[in-house]
Amino acid sequence: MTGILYLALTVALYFLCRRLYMRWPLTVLSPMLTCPGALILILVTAGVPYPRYIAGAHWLTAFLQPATVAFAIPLYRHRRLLLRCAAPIACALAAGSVSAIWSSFGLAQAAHLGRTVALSLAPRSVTTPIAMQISQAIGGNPVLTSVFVLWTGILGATVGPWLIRILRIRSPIGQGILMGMGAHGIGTNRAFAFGLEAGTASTLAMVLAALLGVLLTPLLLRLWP
Amino acid sequence: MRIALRAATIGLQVAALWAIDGVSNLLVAYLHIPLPGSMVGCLLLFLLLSLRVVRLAWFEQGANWLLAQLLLFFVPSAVGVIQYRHLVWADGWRLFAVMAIGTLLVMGLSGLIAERVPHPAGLPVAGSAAESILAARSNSLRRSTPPTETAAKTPPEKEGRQP
Repeated sequence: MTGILYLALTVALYFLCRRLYMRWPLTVLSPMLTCPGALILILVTAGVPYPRYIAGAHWLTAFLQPATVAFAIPLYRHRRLLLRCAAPIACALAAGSVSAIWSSFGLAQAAHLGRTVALSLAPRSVTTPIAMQISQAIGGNPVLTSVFVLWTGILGATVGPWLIRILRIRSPIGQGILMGMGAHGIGTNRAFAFGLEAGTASTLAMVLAALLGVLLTPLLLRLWP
Repeated sequence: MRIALRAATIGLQVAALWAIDGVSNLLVAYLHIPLPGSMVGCLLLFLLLSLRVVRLAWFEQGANWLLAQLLLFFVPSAVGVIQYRHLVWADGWRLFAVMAIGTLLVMGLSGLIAERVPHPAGLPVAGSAAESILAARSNSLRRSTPPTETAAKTPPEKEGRQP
């Protein structure tokens, strides 16, 4: 019964945070930071355990399934543009996938975070359901991976627009690939705010990074010295 | 009345997307495909659209609505971090540093490469290839120029700033 309450609370807080961001469009006030932040504060203060919260809120997570299917629409709409830019997209995604896996694993080892945490970090630049599957396959902790994936997305979507300015990336394809490769679905959501082409490139990056992740992660970790 | 009609359309189209997801989940289970069903569903819908088995208009409004609310669907999972409070207290800063440095590296590298590697349209091309590229370009321009109906509706976060 209280499950519905947590569901309603999440939805209400989300739209409240969106309103706030529309009023003051600052990066720190973006709903992907404020909404989980406020919820965490409420749940921890009230002493609500996560399983009781997710019992109601998991209905929202279920919508990720049709939403992932829905990414086919922008991909189809811009298929010709994407085909035309196949070469730069392929190079960028190959470099992105390799650096994502090796940097996560290598930096985690360097920071002495422990093998399970390092393995759980390795697939973090890939969209949640696939990252969890990869994590399982390579001996990480899938639930921990899902947390890393989420926070990588939030982090990436926050710093992405800033990085695009610093590196002077002007083409919508470059902007989209940067967002989709580094911050999967959350970055893609942000990329659609730049324009349809950037959003579509980001969608493609997200989908292909997931496929590459499945194939490359076990291989690259075996090659790790 | 119009709002009710629009809501009903979106509801139906979301249900249709969910049905595709369901079919893909069955396919994945039956054929032992090592990918999540929703990802296969995305590829399946793309294929069905390309083969003109289904029409864009059957899914478009529902898809736009789902993608506009995408962040909301991620919120419950992001809250999952409270299960790992001990890890956050003990290793939080180091975890954050690993994720931040790694993400900057991945994003910078992929963005710069996608920007710098030339694509065929920038090279001299002859004959029919050039024609098809020109056609693709005008097509993509036509598709992405605003005031078409979908372009006006799609941006999920109108409040987002241009970088």
